[in-house]
Amino acid sequence: MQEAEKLIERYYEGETSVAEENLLCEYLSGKNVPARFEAEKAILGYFASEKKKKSVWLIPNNLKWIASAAAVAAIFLAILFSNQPSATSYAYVDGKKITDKDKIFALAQTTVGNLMSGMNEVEIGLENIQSGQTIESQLDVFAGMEF
Amino acid sequence: MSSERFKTEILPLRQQLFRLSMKMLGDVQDAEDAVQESLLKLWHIRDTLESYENPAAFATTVTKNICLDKIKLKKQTKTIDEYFVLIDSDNPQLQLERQDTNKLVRFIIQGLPPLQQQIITMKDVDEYETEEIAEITGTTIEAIRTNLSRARKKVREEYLRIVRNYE
Repeated sequence: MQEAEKLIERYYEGETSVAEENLLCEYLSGKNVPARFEAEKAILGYFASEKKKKSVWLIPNNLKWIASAAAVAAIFLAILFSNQPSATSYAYVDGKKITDKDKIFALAQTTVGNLMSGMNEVEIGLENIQSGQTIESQLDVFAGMEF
Repeated sequence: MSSERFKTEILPLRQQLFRLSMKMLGDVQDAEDAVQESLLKLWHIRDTLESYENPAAFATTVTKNICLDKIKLKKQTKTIDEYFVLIDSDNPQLQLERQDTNKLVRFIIQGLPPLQQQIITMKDVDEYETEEIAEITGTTIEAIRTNLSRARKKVREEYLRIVRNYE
């Protein structure tokens, strides 16, 4: 306490060093500071808040270009990742979005099954086309006839 | 401009700047204050000083402008005490700011003479030692210490006066 009193006295005489002022500031920002130090608490508290503001906003000149490059890179990456399709599984069935993996798997299997049966239909169709050749040979019968 | 270059290129202009201030203000103390203010201002913008073709001419312009500001202030005849009497009356801005201790302290500091404002900010916010400020302004440690002490005592006195008046 006596120490603080002495420091405050020297502070007002402009005799304290920066280190001593920081020490005083630390003491005044603590608990159980006597009411008679009200003005010092307010004044040094104000300076402490100004120092804090400076340390947050001040970037040394030689680091400024690195800071701006980092900011540009961050924006670029943000755009890049926001455009990436998400890795989650989902399916649209009759316009409805389904995200449950098991359901999607089951649906996918049925779809593939339908596709297989569809292929059978194609084969049958192809066979029909082949049988179409018999029609052609039957038509050949009329080839030599005059009407 | 590096601090070394500032000391070798700008500080030697001190005498020349003092003569100019003396011619404009006609008072030794005012001229001395103007020179110190100019040198501190130039110190804070030393990074850009190299971009001027003639830094010495620029330093003269800065000093001339500071002297002109001082002449203007004198014409307004508003002394530091009058400023504080003014903010002591039922000033709505003060009513608002005294609710916030930081704003109130800032308000009081803004009422200090410009050189005292610069010195208190350099010491208490920018964390310069008194010796460094004396070196930059080309003046004695004692001169800086006296100004710093006056500034700090004035801030305390005004803070307590305003707070007590509104209690």
